[in-house]
Amino acid sequence: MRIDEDQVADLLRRLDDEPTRPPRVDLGGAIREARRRRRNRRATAAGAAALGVLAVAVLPVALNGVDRGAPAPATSASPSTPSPKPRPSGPWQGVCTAALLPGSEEAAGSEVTAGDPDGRWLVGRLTMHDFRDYRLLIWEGNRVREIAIPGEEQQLRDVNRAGLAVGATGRSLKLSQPWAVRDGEAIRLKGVSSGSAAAVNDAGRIVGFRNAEDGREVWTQQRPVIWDSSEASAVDLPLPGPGWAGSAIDIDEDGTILAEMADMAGADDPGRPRRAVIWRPGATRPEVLPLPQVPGGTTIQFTPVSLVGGWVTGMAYREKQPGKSGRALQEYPVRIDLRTGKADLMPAVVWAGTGNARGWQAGSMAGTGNGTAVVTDTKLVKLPGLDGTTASGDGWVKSLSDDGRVLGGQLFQNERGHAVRWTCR
Amino acid sequence: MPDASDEEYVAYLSARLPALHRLAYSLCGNADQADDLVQEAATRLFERWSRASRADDVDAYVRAIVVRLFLDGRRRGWWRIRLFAAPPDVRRSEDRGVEERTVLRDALAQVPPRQRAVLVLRFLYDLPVDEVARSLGCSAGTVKSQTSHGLAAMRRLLSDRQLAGSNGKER
Repeated sequence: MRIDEDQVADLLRRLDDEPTRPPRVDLGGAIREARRRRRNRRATAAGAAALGVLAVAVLPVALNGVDRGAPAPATSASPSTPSPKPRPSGPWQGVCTAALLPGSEEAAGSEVTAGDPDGRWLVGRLTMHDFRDYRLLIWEGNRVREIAIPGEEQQLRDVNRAGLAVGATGRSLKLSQPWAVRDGEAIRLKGVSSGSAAAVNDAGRIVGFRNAEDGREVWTQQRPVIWDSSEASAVDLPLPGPGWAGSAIDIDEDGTILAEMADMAGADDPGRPRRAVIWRPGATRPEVLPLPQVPGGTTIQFTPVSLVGGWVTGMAYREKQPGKSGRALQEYPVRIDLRTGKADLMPAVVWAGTGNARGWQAGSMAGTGNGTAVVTDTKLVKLPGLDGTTASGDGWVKSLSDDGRVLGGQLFQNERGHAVRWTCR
Repeated sequence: MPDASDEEYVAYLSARLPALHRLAYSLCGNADQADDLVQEAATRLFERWSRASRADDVDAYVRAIVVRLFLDGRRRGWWRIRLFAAPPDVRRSEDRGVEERTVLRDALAQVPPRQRAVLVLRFLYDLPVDEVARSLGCSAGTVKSQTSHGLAAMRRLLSDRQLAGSNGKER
């Protein structure tokens, strides 16, 4: 048989066979691995310089609204409330211990994904050996309850003092479905064909996003919404402008709502700068929070992480060399006091974590090596691993109680993620 | 607490995993290795997501990561590390044209990796020369010469083989 190059090209164009099975790719694993590499790189490179800049920031010592009495929990899921230990009292010393949470013995991995402001409830999930198969867990003290929600990639993202948890299922944001869990029962939140629930406050109000039908891409179609209760239908929050898109990500006890949004008018570009948007109780219009000023100049983006006790925490970004291609960004951990509008730099960077009502943050360390940490208004406190040393503290923090004494998250050990609770005195 | 950037990344990539897996499979000819390739590409993409998500053409950016990892992996062999235990590929015997495809695949697998990548992107994915050049990080002239060498290699490999039903009038 004779065959020429044109025929080869033609044959190749018709070579349409596909893999005989769908891809087996673990995006969660990719994210974890990427973060581990990023932390390792930061540890050896620019980290020291970044912390040098941040060291000049001085935070106010006086904190308003701290240690306010918690409202009494509403109907509790359980008659008795086992607690791991009596809660320590006195000044916070930042001396912490880590303990495994029960219930994950059969799993390939486990993690805590959120907790309530008192540290009484932690919510999380088990990764089974098929990586899309998750079992949801709710811990109250050391008692654990498994929750079934239909769908895949289930995740609980917040829980209030009454144990009302909210979250979502679905492989992608386009397919995601919002859920609440009350007394062990899963409730599909109403009024949206697809969307997600991100946070709940003690009044039972839930915020998140819905996917707008007219959105062309994931980043243009999200609209912030509120459910007045787990039985209510979603209501759209008023937008800062016609092209704005994004998700409500937190709701404070006074009803103030925080969203991460961007002005996507006319844009198919997912890189439009993120902004923090808030809706105060009783206000008819949202406010786009001003971009924080940092020692290196003006920031171009502020990505909020949490809103608790009037504190918005998040990360501000400044272009290292404005106008240059590549757009290398320097990040600054920032908290904004909504009572005064004042923005302060935190003493250290932590990644992808959470905040509390004192304006503290907790998360994974950046710039100082692997590990987990709490960043108070004045200092960084490294969290220990299961052996008690900070060297084994590599992992994530997803829950930080208002008094800073109970944290939930995940520690990596022996190639496996473990759901853990830290208690601090 | 939620992390919107993570969600954006997951939303973007989960919709494209089948296409990326198909591309990786076209390059390496094995679904397991394709998984490893895409897994590593997904990791690299997340490392660069804050910048990558601002790229004019994110799809082209990700495609370039997959192709370069493939070429790099051919040198270093990292992708032999298995991430998931999986049964071997079982081809469906009732597939029409399966023999032709197998012959083509076998031939393609024998073409040097760089030429193979050019052929896959130019003909299986119908990408213009400039776009292929960007994906491989080389000049358009190099793409053209690699295309020519690759097609010649394929012709030599296929000329001795029976291509049942490939192109009737040529038989």
